[in-house]
Amino acid sequence: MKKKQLVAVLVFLAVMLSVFLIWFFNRPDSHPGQKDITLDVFHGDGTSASFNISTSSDNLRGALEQIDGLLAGEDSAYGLMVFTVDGETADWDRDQSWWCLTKGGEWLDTGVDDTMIEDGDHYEFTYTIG
Amino acid sequence: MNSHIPSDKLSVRNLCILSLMAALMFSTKLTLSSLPNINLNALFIILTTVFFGWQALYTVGVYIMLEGFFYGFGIWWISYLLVWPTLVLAAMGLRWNRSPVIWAVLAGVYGLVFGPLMYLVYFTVSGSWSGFLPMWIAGIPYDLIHAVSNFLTVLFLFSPLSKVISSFTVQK
Repeated sequence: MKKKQLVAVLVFLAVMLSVFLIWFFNRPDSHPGQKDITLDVFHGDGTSASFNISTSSDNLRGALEQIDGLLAGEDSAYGLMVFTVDGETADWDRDQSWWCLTKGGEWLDTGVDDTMIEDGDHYEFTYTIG
Repeated sequence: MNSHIPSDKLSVRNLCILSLMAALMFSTKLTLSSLPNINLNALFIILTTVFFGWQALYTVGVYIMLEGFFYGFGIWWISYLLVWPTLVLAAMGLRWNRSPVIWAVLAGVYGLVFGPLMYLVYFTVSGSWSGFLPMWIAGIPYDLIHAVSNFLTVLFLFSPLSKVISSFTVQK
């Protein structure tokens, strides 16, 4: 391998390592132990439902799946793609509807699998068009 | 390789090949969609740029339109108008290069910045930058997968596919 190519590969690896370390020191932490969280579901017809969940799960998916029929979707490489919440199914292909997940009204950067929960957390699923 | 570069005129032959490259991008991405952030798009765009120069923008344009028609024209689609032509621009700057290793590094770096570029457009459109950093950090594992897969696919497939494209584009 020529010197220029070697330098390019080494710089690339250094950048990769730097980015990995940024993620490693800033990644979401899991919080072991029992937690009480709340989920509000805002349906397409304007009605809403609230669920109080006591769980030992580390992530949001585990907590929500404790309630039968609350959550349904399709597993993907990025985690569960949520299609159905509290019996209402969003279908992007039909009318560009989807379930928007927020925490305390703020958009989440993670799906239900990668969202680590803490005691007292408050989440919302909102049926959204477009 | 440069001796195989076709003329800059958009001939029917070039148009067919450029369209096929777009179709290949779309179909292979669909085929690999069960794998997180692994696709051959960077490989095809770099190859197209090496052989067709700025005409690679036609391929990218067709690909972006295909994505829009199939998945809808959301904000992510507007991001595509920036992120894919950016790779053509970068590849044009390195078009003199003949080393698959350098192309692999370009593809790897592109995989790493793909996510942030997408967010750049998204947050510009939404008007609020407060979530940019958390969103970038949350997406880093997928950016790293994208970077490594881009690097390896270009490293191992650039040369053999170059030979295949040469056989189509050689001027007789």
